[in-house]
Amino acid sequence: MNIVKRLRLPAAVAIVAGTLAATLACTTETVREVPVDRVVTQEVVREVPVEKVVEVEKEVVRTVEVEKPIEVIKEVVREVEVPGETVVVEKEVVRTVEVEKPVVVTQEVVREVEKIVLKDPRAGGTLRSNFPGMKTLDIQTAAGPGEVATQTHEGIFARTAAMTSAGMQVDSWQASSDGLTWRFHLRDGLKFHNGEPVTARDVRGSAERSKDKPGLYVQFYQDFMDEWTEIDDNNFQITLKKKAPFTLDALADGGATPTVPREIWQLPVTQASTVLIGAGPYKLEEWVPGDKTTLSRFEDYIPSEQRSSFMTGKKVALIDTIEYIEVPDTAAQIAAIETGQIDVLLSVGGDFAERLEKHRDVNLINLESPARRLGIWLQHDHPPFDDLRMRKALQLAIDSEDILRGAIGPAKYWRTCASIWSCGTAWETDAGSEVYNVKDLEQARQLVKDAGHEGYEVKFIVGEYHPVLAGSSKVVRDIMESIGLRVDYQAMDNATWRATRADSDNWDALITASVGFYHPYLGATAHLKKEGWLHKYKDDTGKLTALWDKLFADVYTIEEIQAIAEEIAEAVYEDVPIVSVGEYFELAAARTDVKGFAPLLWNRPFFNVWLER
Amino acid sequence: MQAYILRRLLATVPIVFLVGALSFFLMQIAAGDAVGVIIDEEATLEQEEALRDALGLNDPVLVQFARWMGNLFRGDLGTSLISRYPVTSLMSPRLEPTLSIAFLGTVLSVLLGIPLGLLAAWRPNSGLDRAVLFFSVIGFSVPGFWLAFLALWTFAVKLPIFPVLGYTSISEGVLPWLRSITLPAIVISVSTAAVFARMTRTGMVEVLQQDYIRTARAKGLAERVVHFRHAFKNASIPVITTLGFLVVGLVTGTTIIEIVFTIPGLGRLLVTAVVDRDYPIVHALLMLTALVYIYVNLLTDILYAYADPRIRY
Repeated sequence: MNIVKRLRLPAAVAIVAGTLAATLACTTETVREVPVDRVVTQEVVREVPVEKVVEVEKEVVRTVEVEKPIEVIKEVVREVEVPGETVVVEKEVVRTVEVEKPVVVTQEVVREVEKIVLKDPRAGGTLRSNFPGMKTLDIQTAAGPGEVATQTHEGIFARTAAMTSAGMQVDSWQASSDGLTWRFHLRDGLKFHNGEPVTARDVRGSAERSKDKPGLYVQFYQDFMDEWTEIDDNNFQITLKKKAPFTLDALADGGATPTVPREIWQLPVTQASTVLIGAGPYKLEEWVPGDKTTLSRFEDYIPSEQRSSFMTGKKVALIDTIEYIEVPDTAAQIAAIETGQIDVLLSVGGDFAERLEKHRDVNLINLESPARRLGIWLQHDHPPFDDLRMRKALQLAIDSEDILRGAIGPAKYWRTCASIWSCGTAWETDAGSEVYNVKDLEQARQLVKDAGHEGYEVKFIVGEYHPVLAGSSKVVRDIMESIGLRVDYQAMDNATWRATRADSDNWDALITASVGFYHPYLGATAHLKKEGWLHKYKDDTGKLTALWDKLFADVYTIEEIQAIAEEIAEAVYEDVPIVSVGEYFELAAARTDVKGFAPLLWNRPFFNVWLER
Repeated sequence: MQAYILRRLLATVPIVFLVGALSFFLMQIAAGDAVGVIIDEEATLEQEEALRDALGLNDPVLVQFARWMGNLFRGDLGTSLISRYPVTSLMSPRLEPTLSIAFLGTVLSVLLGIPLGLLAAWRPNSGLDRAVLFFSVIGFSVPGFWLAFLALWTFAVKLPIFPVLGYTSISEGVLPWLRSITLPAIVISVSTAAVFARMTRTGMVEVLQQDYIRTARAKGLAERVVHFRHAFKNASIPVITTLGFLVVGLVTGTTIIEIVFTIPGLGRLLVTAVVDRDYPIVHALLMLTALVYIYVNLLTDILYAYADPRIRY
């Protein structure tokens, strides 16, 4: 393990150097653009044989027989009888003239092009998956298609398995030498499910509608981007106010910019779309709200020629039909996959994981890296946690193993992680972590006493609807009580929790389970900035603010970014904007006859997946 | 009788509106709104407010109420705040699964509960009576969700006779339809059958001690005739009352069953709507519940008159 850790950095640097060399060899551009995200830590690449289209040209000799008709000469003579005498006035005679029946045979050569589709033998079938539910067809809403959009939509850029960015709807791009102008070319043959072509105008319109979507993209759009213009139907250009070393990352950020047709992107973002139209390999066939969503293969989808890796590259819709079924009860979900009535569980709770692990017909998939981060957010704008001593007291008292065990269960589904940056990524660091998971209750009690908050009643709001939050919060409550605090434990449903936490007066502490800090430019890092989130982080020393400003101010090498990331980690442990608990793994499950299924993070792609039945 | 029925039917209009109004103001008390469900977790407060404005949730409560009532008078139950689909279009496909389970549940309850009650009353305090009592107590005490899980595990996982999840419409065939609703119907019918058995048994034992029954027996009538022709009709009035309440309970109270068996019915829709604060759906479903109560009660009253000719309206 240590050898792997030691080799990780040189390997990453070597790969980056190789990538840079290859890039320089191909272009004469002198862009100081450092591909900060080209650190390849793991690469899951699946090459899936696709349907082949064979065009055959052949000559056909066609024989045409022409039959000459019989010639008939008709002479009409009529005979009229007059009493007493017979006078022939007219006589009708039919005379048939026999003529030859020559058959003319001509030969014509026709060139036919026959299109033979060699279908992949694995193609076909219906895959059934559980689904937490799609409450609206608008992809810009949290209650929207979610996983469905993974199959039905595409953006201009997307993430590879190594969390790097790669072109999806664009096949080539170019940056000017000053790094301020970027030109992009759309892949040929892109079509929406309604048959309309995907144009640069649609890309711009979709980007405009997504511009307020939280994440790196919104920062890019608001602070760095100057203008987004379409050059023609297939080309567009982005000009920047200042250099953004994360331009491609921003464009791939969490699927923030899936391309949608005009009828959707022209709607204001507050008006939910009532149709689901994308340009991905699957299209919506039927939506029964609260019950099921059916997708079918989009026959006009032309896969990219690039290598397939997670959400990028060649996507082949091998499965004919995907059925997402809303199964609200966890026990029913488990029973359904065990009996084969559904093929995939998008997410599995720790309670049932071991049971599924033992099932011979089910594969449990542990998405270890990047994992989910469990963190305690403390309200900074009023007592008691506006006092650094109180934040440090809680940090010192935390027993990560206890909390994670209470939240998730068996130890194989979680890990303590001393790094502020996600463990298992290139950014993992021990910087500042001497105070992590030390369980020093005595010192914590002393700090509470020194701050004069002994016996203070902490308003602790808990998202009881979420098993991980509910489980971890109970242990954290005990820890708070053990250092001399009283806890007003308020368990609530999602809507109430969201409404309550919006007002900082309503709470002192809460726990979240988020994607964490897996990249200095991405994920939930914006929450660690001054006034960055609902916890109203004060950053009294100004240290973290200065470090964030520094990170976004210039273009750096990997080593330079890692150095800044380490400083950020130290500052987080010093000023405690968040108390880090640890990480747990997302678990998914699939029947053993589901092949090629490689979920990662929040995406469960079903393209390049087939059923071996 | 007809005038009575007409009066009762007319009375449903103000009652339903009253229930709707009550539901509207009660939901205003609940914390949170649909915005929390629609918008991203990391959205800013400004973005949340903009969406709230667009949905009209920032308007004064009375303005919202007047708007909703106005639509209701025009026969418009409104649009889901989240999916933006008409409430009626969300409710209508869910009626069939709920009514199917309620129908089969009622049939099974009656077919199981009433004969058991009659059997128990045939020989009071006998072993059979005690066995029926045991079934009644267990059937009524066991929580529905536990029974549902047990049934699911036994008859869908271990003995895969019934499907684990889903509902098959009757339009796809009677047998697949029956297969999809049998297990949930059996589960919900256990507790109601237990109640029927107790009610029938008690009613029958009481009636069988009346003078006219002694007279009937003195006339030499067969015990079967005494029980079914003379006693059961009089004993059935409390059973009819119970039947009314239980049918309403079956129509409106199948939520847990629908969740466990993944049936896309009205109960699940209501729970989801309450959790998501999708007010128009909640209001419409509560009004529908009120309607079911009113109509089933009316039907019960009509059945009283049939069971007991002395009752006249």
